[in-house]
Amino acid sequence: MASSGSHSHVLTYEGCNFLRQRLVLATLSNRPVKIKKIRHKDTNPGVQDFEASFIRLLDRVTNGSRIEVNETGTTVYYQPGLLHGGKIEHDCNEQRAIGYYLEALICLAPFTKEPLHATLRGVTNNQVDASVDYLKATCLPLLQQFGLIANLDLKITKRGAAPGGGGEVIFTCPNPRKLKPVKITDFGKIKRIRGWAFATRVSPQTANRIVESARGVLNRCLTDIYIYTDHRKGPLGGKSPGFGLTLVAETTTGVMLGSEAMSRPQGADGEPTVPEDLGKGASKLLFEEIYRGGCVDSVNQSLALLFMALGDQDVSKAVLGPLSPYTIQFLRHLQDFFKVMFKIETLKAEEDTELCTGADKIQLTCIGVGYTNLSKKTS
Amino acid sequence: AKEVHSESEDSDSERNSNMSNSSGGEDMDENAGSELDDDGDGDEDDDDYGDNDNDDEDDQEENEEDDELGGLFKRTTKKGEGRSGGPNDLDCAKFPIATGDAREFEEIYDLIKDCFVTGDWGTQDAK
Repeated sequence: MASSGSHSHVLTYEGCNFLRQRLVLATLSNRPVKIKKIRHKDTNPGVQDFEASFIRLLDRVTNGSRIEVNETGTTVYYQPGLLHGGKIEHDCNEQRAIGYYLEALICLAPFTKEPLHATLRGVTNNQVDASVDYLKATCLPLLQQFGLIANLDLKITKRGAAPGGGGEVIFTCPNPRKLKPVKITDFGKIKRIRGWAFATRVSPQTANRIVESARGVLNRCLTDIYIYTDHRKGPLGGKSPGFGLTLVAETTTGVMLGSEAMSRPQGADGEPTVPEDLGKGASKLLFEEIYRGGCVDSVNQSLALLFMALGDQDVSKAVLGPLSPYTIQFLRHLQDFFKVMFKIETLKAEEDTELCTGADKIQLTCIGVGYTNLSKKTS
Repeated sequence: AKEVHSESEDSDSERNSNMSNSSGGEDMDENAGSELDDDGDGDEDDDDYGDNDNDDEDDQEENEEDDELGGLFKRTTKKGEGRSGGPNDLDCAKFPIATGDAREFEEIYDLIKDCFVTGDWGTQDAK
């Protein structure tokens, strides 16, 4: 700990997993953090290019951060500066999709000094991360519930499939003085399903084939289904061929549950993806997501919990499906950084009704810490 | 070579310790690491969401990796890459589906059919 001095409040973690949430929470709580043993046993040790790119992005959003990486890259020390925001541009590394960077950026956006206007370039869709379509369809409606409404937008100006990338998105977010406490407990009933099928640098017919196969499966449960097609040509379509589908089920109370599937990237091992299989695959994943259920989809669980914890000093409640491993770790981190704990109750289905609504749900309750954006004057 | 060392700590068979290019220094590495860890973690002990002790996980991993290939070589790369939650696994917010392809459409649909407006509303009034 020589490099960081003997700060007793430096939180220390190990490994590259959960790097984003650690650095994001460090920034929000203004506590230095040290992460050791990053791939220390790997043949390719230390932080990878995409993580370095993420750290550079954090440096762009903040003012006066101090970041130290040791010679082998296996240890990162981060002393956060002020969260500035404003207009930023960032070229995201192509190893991960823009969603990887955007998920973290969304966590920070409401708390910046200047309203965030971020232009991110890179891979818009890959098989690993949540795509920008997915975040646009599920995450933005969630943010609105916390009072982030005016100027909230995610625009996909160019699309870029993995591995070449070449896509571009513009994310804008307001920075209110305080976040509203929420009660996201009513799931309602799924009233419609919307989808976005895209195809870049492949036959325009591909998107239609995806739509047809997905509709064939989904039509059994609902009639209100519409899947938009988005075929991009030339520079708007990025550098690599690819196609994919994002599906979102919307309930009567405005809950959004999503799923997505993406074609195998060019040059990867294995058979090329068949559009019909992809359409069915995404539909099946949507069914699985509905089975898990809850009022927040599995990718955005941690985001909802973060904003509940940092909201106004009032009770917030959310009903979620099973917690993802990412969210479970996030709860531990929330406790480390903000000393916030959630009350967790399992909601058992009522026995007399015997409705088929999937897995058991849990209700998380907390009192917000009353995090205020000090750059905003009292109105 | 580092990975080979760490596994040879646990292995009892002579053949294995012969095959791994002689260990040494690794023990020191491990100990130094855990000592530092104890110092750093001081204020996190009141963790009520479950014990997040990484040392235990490390030990388990090493035991799991103990298997031999063809009785001669040892596996040095990590097994079970799909498992998430390990300290050096992929940082991804997505929740992988454990049941995989095992469940058919009909099977899942039967379990969730009342999630749709077309399903049973139970005691609730239809809106």
